[in-house]
Amino acid sequence: MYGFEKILKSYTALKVRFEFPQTVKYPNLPVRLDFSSVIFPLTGETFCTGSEFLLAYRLGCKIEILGGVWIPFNSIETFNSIETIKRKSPTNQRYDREPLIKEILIKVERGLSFFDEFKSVNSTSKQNDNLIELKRKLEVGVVVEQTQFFSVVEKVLRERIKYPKGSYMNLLYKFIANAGIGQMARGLNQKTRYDLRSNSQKAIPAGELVSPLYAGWITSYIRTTLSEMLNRHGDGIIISCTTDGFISSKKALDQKSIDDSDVFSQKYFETRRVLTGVGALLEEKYTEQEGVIS
Amino acid sequence: MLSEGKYHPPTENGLISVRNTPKILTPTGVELSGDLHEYLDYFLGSYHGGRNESYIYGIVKGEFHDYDLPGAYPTAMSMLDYPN
Repeated sequence: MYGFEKILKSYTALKVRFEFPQTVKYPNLPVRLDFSSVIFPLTGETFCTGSEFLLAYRLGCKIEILGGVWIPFNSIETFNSIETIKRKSPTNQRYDREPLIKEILIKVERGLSFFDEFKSVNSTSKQNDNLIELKRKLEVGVVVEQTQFFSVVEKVLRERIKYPKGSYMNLLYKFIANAGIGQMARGLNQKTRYDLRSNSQKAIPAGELVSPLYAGWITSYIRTTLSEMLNRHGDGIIISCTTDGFISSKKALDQKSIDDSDVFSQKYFETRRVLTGVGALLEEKYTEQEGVIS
Repeated sequence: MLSEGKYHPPTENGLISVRNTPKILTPTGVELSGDLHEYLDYFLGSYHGGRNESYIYGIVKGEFHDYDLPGAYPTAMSMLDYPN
């Protein structure tokens, strides 16, 4: 697990030559076919990220690494210390772990935005609520909330869920969250758009937030989680997949339909639970009774 | 290098930034970008968008369910951290 975390919690980009077993129904390594198409073949040569590499390896893929870069997360030591301490912990009981949590907090120095909050926690009941919330976050084993990214996303998503689904404010907060990610990838591909002023196509300029590291990590994690679920539910009929979802003949799929070996889905579910207070892996948007045209 | 001794995120080195990707692939850019040029191609190459595929073409009869990951990209973004 140590090696797994070390690769997942890093900006890893690899050039690989790969070959999946013939039994893998949904290989997960993307290969560019031309300027507009990406396919997911059984064999090929491509660039991939750490999460894609890890899932491919788990699916039994033979991988030859031709080159690559590994830049760890700032908090990789934090992650490791927490993983180690958690393994030593004799109990999983919620409130018996206070000494353990304190130990973790003392050890964590970098990227811990709620450390000051914890130190002054006994003065008011509101702050005690914060402590309980903090404990809950640490219990589920998702430590990503220590990062600035987590704090920003948490604030936006918690605002969003205050409003009913489909309402203006709910959609506005959804847009704000997604816009930030869009800015991380803006201008990477030198795509053009129509410019009314000059009546010509102009390249979209890169934004202040642009980063192929962040954009690549985010999109690849979602592709990996989706690919993991496609392979998990491959015994049913899957019509198609679209970025963050798929159409399947299988009923009532949710977090109960995965197991411990589906680590990417598990992490997604846990992170979601900490972010919004409600765990969710899959949401059923629509059921079609008659059939589909694909 | 002018930028030596100062901290910069992996996307820039004080002289040139990933925001100027086309500039990096010039004689001046390659020389000034140093390490950035060496690893940037790996990260640009490994960036792909969403997975979009159709596995069946035509009419398929039966009951089907459309699932999605709620808040997919923001959830993944919350797992990020600054590069070390």
